[in-house]
Amino acid sequence: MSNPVSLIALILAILCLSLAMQKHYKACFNKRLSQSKEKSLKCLGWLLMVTSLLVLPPTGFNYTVWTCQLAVVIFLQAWLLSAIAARRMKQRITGARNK
Amino acid sequence: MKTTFRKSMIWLHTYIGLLSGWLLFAVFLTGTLSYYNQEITHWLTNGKQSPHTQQVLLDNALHKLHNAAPNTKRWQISLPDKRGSSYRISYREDDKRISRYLDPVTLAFTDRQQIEGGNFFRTFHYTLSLRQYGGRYLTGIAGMAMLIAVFSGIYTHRRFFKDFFTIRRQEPKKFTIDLHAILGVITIPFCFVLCASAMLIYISMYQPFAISHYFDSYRTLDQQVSTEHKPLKAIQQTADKAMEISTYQSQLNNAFGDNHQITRLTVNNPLDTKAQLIFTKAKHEWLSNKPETIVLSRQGELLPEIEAERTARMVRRIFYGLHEAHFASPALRAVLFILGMMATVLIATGMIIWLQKRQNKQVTASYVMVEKTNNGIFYGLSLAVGLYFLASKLPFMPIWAENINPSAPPLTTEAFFGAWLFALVLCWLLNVKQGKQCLLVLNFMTFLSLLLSVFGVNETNNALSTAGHVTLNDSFDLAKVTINLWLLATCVYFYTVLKRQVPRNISSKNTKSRNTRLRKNDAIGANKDNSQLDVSTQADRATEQGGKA
Repeated sequence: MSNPVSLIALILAILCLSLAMQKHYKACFNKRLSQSKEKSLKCLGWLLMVTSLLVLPPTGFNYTVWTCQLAVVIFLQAWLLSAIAARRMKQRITGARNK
Repeated sequence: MKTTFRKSMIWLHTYIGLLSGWLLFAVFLTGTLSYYNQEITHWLTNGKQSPHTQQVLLDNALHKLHNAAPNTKRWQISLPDKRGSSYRISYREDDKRISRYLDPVTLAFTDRQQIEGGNFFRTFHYTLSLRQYGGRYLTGIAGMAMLIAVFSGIYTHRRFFKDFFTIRRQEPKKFTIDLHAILGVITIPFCFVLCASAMLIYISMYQPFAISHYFDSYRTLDQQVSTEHKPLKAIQQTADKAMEISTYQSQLNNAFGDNHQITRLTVNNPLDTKAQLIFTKAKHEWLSNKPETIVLSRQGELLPEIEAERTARMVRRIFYGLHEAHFASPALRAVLFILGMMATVLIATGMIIWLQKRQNKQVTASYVMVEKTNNGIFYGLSLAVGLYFLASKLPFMPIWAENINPSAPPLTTEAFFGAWLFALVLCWLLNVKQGKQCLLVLNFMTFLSLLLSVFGVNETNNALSTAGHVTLNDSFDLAKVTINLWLLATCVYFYTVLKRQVPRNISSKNTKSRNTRLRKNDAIGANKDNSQLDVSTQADRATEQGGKA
């Protein structure tokens, strides 16, 4: 559909940016996100986002495709994160029940 | 009004959404379906991809036109493409436009019945089948309402950045709200472009006063801003040789590249020595809806290109192109389709949230009315779409062709509106839960039979080819596969919803079995953990899938 480099960079960017948020980081790795890590993840995320835009040849068509991809990638990432969070919650509940 | 800006925005968002929600839902769902306009028609008519090259198809069409309409001023040829659009010639005879369809495989005229197919959804989504009665004004109002709702929604969303990637699945109510919020945020560009371009497409209808102030009519304005091909004057001298496309092939390759696709050829003064041929290239990576053309004379000389248009016209053309997305490749088309469905779900969840916010208060008649109508509109529309498909598909099924008069027109639009009305009435008469389950079962059955019809048709194809007819070129037909996949997704979806619904009711009588079921679910893992989802959140996802037919 479009430049694969751009798409991969976009996916990674969204991954970094979402993990730079305290509650999603905690849901994924079960520990607190340190301030420095948050900062670096955020920087990396935005850098990747800019890269994914810059590697595209500057045409209106490419930017249209990119915007569509952005929406879908954000949704998929949110869905994935919510699945992870739900699973963790379930584990906690079953853990409590077993005790 | 309200005490703070935010509060008035919430008020605006709530009521503009509530008032236009059902209309918007119908417009967005059918509009999203019309991304697959040609594919749907191709699928319904059980069309075939052409095994011939474009040159063969064009030559054949020219030959047919030469015999059928030698004395007309203009010929038009539409070529079939990968999306499954039709192979057609058209010309004017006694001030009447005549279109005749050709079979892309046998290259002969077909007398096969032409159905509206996917085009019905396209027309419905902006006219609501009320073209003469102000349907386009209604959709215009709906589009404006959507724009207002999108922007007031931004103020309504309290934690825009904090909740950016959050969907809480555990609590059904929060799930609906989160889904609404995240879908709203990610479809802001999509909804904005679609609604704004809708406004621009019919700007002459929605903003008539500026035009009538400066110009006599829209037509005069149009003539001033748009440019077209200058026609060659006919010299009343009949050419001695019929046209052949191979004469123009090198010019075409020069202009459009070696692997170009042509969608249309227009020939002016076809028999004259001064004939003019306008080739239109298939859309690719070109946002504007302005066609890419080259103009050739009969002898193959390049004639002057169309003049550049004014910027205003170009802006409108780009928005028009973005709205219709003819430029989209199959992958981008699928993404756009998903985005459209997301917007549809956004509208449906909005309606459900309105109900949820009022759930704990006293249940009034209006509350029940909205709840029932919600079900009727959302599931009813998916049912209507399914039945429309079935009704259009029937004449192309072997059973129908054998037993019933094939020339009788199928009652497709009747099926669509009948089913929708039936669903609404059903929801109003039964209680909320019953009505919903009824519609779910009906939806599932409809889409399942649509899926099964695919196998039925395939079998007859095989039977035909083994019976000694031409072995058909069984190349990979992406258009059909896409539709089949979305149908399958729809079926799977309605199946899962039904499966969740039925044990839910039993378990509410028997809590013990519910608990064992819960534990089982735990064992199965996270995939099925949303079996406890609220009925209403399933509703909107069902409608999402329902549209994916």
